[in-house]
Amino acid sequence: MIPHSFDYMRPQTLNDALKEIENLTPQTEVAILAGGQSLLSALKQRRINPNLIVDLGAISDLSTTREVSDGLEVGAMVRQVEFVGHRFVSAHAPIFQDVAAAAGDPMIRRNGTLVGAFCEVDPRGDWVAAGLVHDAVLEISSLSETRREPLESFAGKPKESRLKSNELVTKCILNAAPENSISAYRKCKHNAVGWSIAGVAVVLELDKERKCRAIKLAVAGATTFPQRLRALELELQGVDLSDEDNLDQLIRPHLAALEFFGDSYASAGYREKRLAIQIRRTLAELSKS
Amino acid sequence: MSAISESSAASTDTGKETTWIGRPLPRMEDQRFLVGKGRYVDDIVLPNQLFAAFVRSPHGHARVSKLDLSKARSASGVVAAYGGSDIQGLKDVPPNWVLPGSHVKGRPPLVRETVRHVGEAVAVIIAETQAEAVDAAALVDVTYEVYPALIDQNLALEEGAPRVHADIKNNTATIMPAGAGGFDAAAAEAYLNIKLTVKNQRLIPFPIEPRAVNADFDAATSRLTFYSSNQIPHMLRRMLAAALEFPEHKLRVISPDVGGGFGPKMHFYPEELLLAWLTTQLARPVKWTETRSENNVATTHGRDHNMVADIAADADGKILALRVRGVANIGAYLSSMGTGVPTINVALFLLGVYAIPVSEALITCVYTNTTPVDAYRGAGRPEAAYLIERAIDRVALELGLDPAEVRFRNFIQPEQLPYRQGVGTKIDSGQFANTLNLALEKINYKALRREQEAARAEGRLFGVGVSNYTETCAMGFGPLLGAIGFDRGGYESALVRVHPDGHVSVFSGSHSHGQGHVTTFAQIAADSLGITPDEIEVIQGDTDQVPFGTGTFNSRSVAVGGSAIKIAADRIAQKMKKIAGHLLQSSPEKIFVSQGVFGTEDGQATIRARDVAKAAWTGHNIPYDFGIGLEETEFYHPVDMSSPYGAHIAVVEIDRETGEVDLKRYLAVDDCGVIINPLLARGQVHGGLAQGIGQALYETAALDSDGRPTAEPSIPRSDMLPRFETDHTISPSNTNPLGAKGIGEAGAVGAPPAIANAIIDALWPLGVKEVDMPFTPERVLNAIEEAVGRDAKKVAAQ
Amino acid sequence: MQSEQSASAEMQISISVDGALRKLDVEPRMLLVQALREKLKVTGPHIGCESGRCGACAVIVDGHAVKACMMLAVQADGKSVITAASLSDNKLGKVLQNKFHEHHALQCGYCTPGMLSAAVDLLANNARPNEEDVRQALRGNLCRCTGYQHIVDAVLDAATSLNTADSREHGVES
Repeated sequence: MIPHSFDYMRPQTLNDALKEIENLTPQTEVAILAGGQSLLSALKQRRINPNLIVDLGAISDLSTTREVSDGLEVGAMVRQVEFVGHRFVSAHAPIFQDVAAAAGDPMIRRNGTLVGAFCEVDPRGDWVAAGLVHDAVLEISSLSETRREPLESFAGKPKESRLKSNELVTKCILNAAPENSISAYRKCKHNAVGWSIAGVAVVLELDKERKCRAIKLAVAGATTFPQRLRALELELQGVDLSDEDNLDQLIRPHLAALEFFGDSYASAGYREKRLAIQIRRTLAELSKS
Repeated sequence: MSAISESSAASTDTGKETTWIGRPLPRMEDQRFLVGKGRYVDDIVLPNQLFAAFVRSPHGHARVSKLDLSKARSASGVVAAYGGSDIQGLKDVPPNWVLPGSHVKGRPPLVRETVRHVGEAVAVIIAETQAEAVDAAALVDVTYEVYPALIDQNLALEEGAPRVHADIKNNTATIMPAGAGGFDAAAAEAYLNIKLTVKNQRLIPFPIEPRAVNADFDAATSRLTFYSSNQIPHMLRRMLAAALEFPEHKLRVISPDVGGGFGPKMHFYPEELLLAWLTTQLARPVKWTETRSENNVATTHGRDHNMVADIAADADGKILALRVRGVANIGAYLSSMGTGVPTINVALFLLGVYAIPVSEALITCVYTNTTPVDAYRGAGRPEAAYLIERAIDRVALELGLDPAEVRFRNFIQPEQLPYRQGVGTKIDSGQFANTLNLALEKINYKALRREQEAARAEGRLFGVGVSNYTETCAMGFGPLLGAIGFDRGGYESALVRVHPDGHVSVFSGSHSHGQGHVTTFAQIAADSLGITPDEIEVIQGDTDQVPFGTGTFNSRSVAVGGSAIKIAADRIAQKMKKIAGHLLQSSPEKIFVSQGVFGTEDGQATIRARDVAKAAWTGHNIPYDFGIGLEETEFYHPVDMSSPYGAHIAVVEIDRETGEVDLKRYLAVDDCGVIINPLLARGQVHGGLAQGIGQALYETAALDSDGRPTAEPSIPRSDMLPRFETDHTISPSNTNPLGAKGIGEAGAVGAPPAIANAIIDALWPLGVKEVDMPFTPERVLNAIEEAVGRDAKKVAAQ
Repeated sequence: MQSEQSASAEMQISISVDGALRKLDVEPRMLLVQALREKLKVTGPHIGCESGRCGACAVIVDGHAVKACMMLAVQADGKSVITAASLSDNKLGKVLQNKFHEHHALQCGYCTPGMLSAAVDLLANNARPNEEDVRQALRGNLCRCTGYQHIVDAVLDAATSLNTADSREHGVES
């Protein structure tokens, strides 16, 4: 319950924060405190023992949300509940309203940040799946450079390789769902903490015959990391999504290629089965809306 | 009997109807909890406080080959550090329900050399602050030589299995046979013979408040004050004094507000013995607050009992004979009730509410490398009810008969009462058919079965499950307890004191950890004394103030604790009427009391209770031989235990593809005799149901091959439970003056079999006959796929 | 992974707790719930887990319910914290406390302060929740005693009662 001791810094500007982490000695382990809803658990259980915690909470630049051409920039300190309340979400990214209803609990969402959830890349990460179907991009800064990386490639890397020790994720950029698209995040819940057994994020455009014209589809909760199923997306183009038997045949081979994880509540094998069903049912539901 | 009404009309000695018993009074004790001023053990910090932190084994079976406390001892703020070799004099904590003939292994305060379960404490660090104790604990250098851990009880019984304790053969703590034999003969004549295997899985009880202890030895007075989050303050005092060889009269145990008990907090733990010893050594108070991850492995687990039943029945579904072999996992050491809960508490109820002519049982308690298992809400009765209710349903479904109808055919009939079961208990009361009928009516069972037919026609999996249960609460009769090795009394204490100003204190040996005794007991005393509950204060949980009692478990507090209060208060009422009669110049029989005023029948002469009390406490104006005072102590010693019972019904629909179980409705009709406070009784039913549903659908300790729980216990959240439908029948108990039976555990007993039966009922057309708890989607889906696969193979083979 | 632990320098912070401005010195690693309980002797928020899922520690920080075990005390510097001890100063809090009492929405009381915090937050943001809304809103608060039903009933009744009172205040037909 009591973390190891650590030093604590609360820089007032992004530049100060970047300076703090620029010249760390190899022995210094740093953890970045944004929303803290993942970090605090890890600290309390002593799963991680950083010597230094850098709290981004005072950096007002990181708390802004800004509409840009066809998208939204969300600062690293923007809380999940604030983000979901932004008009952009109801207008252009309603999938995140589904995620908010399904992920965590209201108090976690009050403090937790969107960018923090993206960085955590928990295999069960509902927010990540939704971010993936909005082509989320992370903006990553160090003192000397700023780069952008799609969330998709970030999430696919092993944890140690995602960020250099002198880098911070300062914002994410989400695109707007296409006009006339339908979105949904549908999850079947794990009993203990509300983590996903299988969650499906979809942004879908239907053609005049209500077949799939274009689709973005990402999964969470079942595979070892949340991911877009691009090959499946391609194969779904032109498909009648209300034909569930056909869909079922189509979906399964794509899942066979993925790596699933299991725990005492649901094995990897079950998650694979369940995910296939969840994808199929979600698509069928959307095709009728 | 009638369904519950807002107020019951039972007369008391006052000659008037009761005013308070039967009323759904909101609790008088709520205020402090609502404003966050409850006083739990961790809220208490004593002057000169020291803090303890434990180092616990992450392995289930290991030898400690090295334990180096030097870095810990020299860490900042550390006062002392101890390993097993530093506490040579301290004994193992002994169990206190030991079946004769058992092979006893108590719980060591610290590991001496061999670790036998994950979470066993290897060292304890005492420091000036909690943080320093925890930091220093991280500096303890311990090396383990890890061995394979024996987790499963059936494997532990196998020939050649490794020994958990070197000197205990076959890892067997105790074997209890029951019944007079005869199964094979009866089975040979039976129309239907079935073998049923059920597992009652290991659970982590998970009270939201983990354990906490603060032990304070005052060297100046040689008194030890011991705070513990505990259900049994007096019992703890007796056990602690004996283990510590400390004079009992100088040991004060205080159990203040307790954040949930459920059974695990009614035991005596190694940490308690250790902290009591440490405070005497250090002459400063020592406090330990269990973390959740400690609680998961160091506080007792529940259930973990595997059973195989052989059932013989006739063509009408009447069960002719039942034979049960149970193998119970009791963990690495015997916790207090370790040998009794899986044996006696189970055997007594294996036949449920049924008249089964022939029965046999054999229950084995097995040591394994796991956290000790002990009483958890229901304590053996859930295991028994689960078995017999699954058995009855199985018989019905095999024969194509309605499960409710088959129950009616097997119930003990009113004319058979009192009925002594073979294996089992003496059932002396209970209108089982009436209660089941009420449940079936309330849920409109016929309509449900029609709904099921329609659903089946559409290929939907819709199931209805019934469970009947009975249990025994309100223990108990001392000599009987002694005969079965239960080293506790079965009485309860009450001291009722009317103060000179007419207010009343009631001291009770029961201990509320959420049950609301402050209100319930005040209602009982108020009726006896003719005053209002808010004039009565109920005090519990301090062995210096409360006469020696037994504590709260086994749903006994109203029936035994409440009865003690009623008897003591009635005696006081008699005396007060005698005094009032004298002062009003009337005979006591013609005196009535209401709203704190004593008066003659015609109401012409009255005297306030406080004036009566003052007379009693001064001796003025009353005859000398009346004696001084208005204070009565009662140790109520029941002769018989009570038999609550009930009928529960669950309705489920199962998603064929995913195995997900939708619990659509749950109805509980319970008979707990006279209900003192229906609002509180309903709360107890809800809480028990939540835990029973938790066991059925969500929870499992999920131990890995080392005995480590692999996940956080999945206790139900607010969005994981349905609305409960509840009702009561009332057949007053004749075993105590209140007519009460006990309701605290009913939900946990009735729910798992009701849900299991509903699920199997839903899946029966697919050929599924058995599934084990928890009924997770995966398990249910596996059962479906396996059955369908079996069918496919059969078809292919034809 | 460090081999030597030394307490980090304490920092002075100030938090308004239940209406009173409090100054305290805390190590950075001290959780808000520990600071409240140990430094300020405000023991309403309770500790029931280590993973942040039980909600027994929930308090209201700057008007919103948060889990006090999932924040460092230093993060609360300059903020205002309301615990169960002062909830009755707030109309929502008072009505909820009364309804919890009427509906027997507490048994052992350990989850109650946190449950009230979550309920206050719900009603502050949604004056007309339905049962599903309430159950979702309380998802972050575990109770092992009540089975939740009485708690849900209490919150729904509190909402009704507040709406009725509001209607009366504004002269609307209820």
